[in-house]
Amino acid sequence: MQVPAELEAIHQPARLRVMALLYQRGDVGASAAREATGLTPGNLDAHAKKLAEVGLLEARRALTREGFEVRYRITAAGVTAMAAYLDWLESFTRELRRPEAQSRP
Amino acid sequence: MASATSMTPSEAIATLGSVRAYRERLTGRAAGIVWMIWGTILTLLSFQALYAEFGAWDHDAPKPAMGWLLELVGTAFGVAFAGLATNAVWRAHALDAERMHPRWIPFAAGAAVVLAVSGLVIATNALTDLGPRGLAFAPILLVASAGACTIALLQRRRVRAAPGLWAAAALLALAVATRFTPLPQDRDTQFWGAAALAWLPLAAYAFVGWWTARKA
Repeated sequence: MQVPAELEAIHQPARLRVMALLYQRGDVGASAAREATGLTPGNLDAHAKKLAEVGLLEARRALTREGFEVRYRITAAGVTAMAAYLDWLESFTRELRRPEAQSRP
Repeated sequence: MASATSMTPSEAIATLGSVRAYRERLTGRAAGIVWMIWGTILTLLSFQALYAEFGAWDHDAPKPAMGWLLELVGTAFGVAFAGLATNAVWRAHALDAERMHPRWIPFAAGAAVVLAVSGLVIATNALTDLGPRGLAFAPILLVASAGACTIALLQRRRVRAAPGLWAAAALLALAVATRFTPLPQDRDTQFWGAAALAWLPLAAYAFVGWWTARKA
């Protein structure tokens, strides 16, 4: 099954982790995002920029107790896209359950 | 294995499973369900004990030979079912449970709790009566307390153990209170008191399970 073209930005391991985290929490700091996704700072920054280019998340600098920190927030378009991506994954598992997709003796 | 730029749907599902937020949510739900499974089984075993004592025969007539076998077999089935269900729940969340526990642990833990508390009760009953007499079925709550402590400790690496440990402490306090609070020893008081005690494990475990799943 091919991933729909509009969801290709999400369909990448690192970006999927970022979007999954933001879909759950809405708004996370860069340090928390790195811990949750296991990405290096450079990797996270690069993939976040890619997602921001297609309008799925926003990045901003916010003042915290430890100083300025980059924070990521999922956009409305990102929420819609992530929901559509999860629907697409579910359709994939449903496809597996169809009789013609099962090879039984 | 997912490449840097593309992946199959199966790899996407595995990727989602690795995100901590999803992991915590799935783990909390699985742990909560495990609490509810054992709470249900404990209450069923409690009512089995009530049936064996109050319902299976006329209280004034001699008890059937080897009547203890009813409780032993029922307990073995109950622990086995709960152990199977516990393993099934954690394996259903295989996306999240990267390090699965050995399959025998739920069975061994359940059997150990039942045997330990049963041995303790038998040993104390062999002594002369200790203090005022309350409800004879108070050991039901001892089993529930030991079980709650065991589940909380076994799941401590996945979810917080504190709610389960608090429940264990509360059940233990109730066990002591109901055992040593002077109560009429007539059959009706003992029957209804035991019936009330039998529901407590389910109530306590269901609350801990709900709390654990909610806090994920």
